[in-house]
Amino acid sequence: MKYNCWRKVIQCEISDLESNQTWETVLRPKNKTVIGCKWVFKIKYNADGTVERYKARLAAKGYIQREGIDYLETFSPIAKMTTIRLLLSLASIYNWELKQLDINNAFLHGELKEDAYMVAPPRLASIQPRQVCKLRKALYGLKQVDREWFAKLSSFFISVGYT
Amino acid sequence: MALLAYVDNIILAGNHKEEIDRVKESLNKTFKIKDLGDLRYFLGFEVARSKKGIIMSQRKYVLDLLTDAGLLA
Repeated sequence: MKYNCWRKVIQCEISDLESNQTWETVLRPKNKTVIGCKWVFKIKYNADGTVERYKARLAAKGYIQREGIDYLETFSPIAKMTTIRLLLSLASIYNWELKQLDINNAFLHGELKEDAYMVAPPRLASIQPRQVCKLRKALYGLKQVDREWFAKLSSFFISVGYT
Repeated sequence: MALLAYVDNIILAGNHKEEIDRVKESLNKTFKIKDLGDLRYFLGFEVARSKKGIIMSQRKYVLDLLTDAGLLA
């Protein structure tokens, strides 16, 4: 069937999220914001136009989160273009190697400090009636994920001895 | 060695190859990374290297932007 590719990637993504212990299922709490969620689909193409892969990502509807109640801080530092140019200048002058890499699913590594509850994604097998997902790990779309990811990354570098 | 992070994109720079590889390895152990090798394309700019220096250009970025805006059709 035509849509099987999407079914498959959704299933993969769900099992990744579950093995990452992104959430636990709990009874829906009273007087707490319960965040909606949705699937975001994207087809990645190779340079020659053929399909590289189908990508499904579960995103939380973070726009419902209220500052000061559901989250506190969101600021996260990123590199300025000037800083990048400085680094490249140094690399040029001292003839340094320049390597680059991506972190896979960076945001999913972040840990949530605040309690966050999310409506279960459609047809989640492990959920009972009147239950919701209590998030333990960050999920795309939440207000605080950028910050939590940066905190995780910088504490990692400190733990391995970089300053 | 210097490291620059832009959310999940990271540049490693330095004159000590083993040290760079060590950082990559430990990042990969903790987070899983995609090793993109030499710095080529970062935040929309291309990086080309020669004996004389480094060239940064946003050629590809501009072309993609023009294509998206339908100005090249």
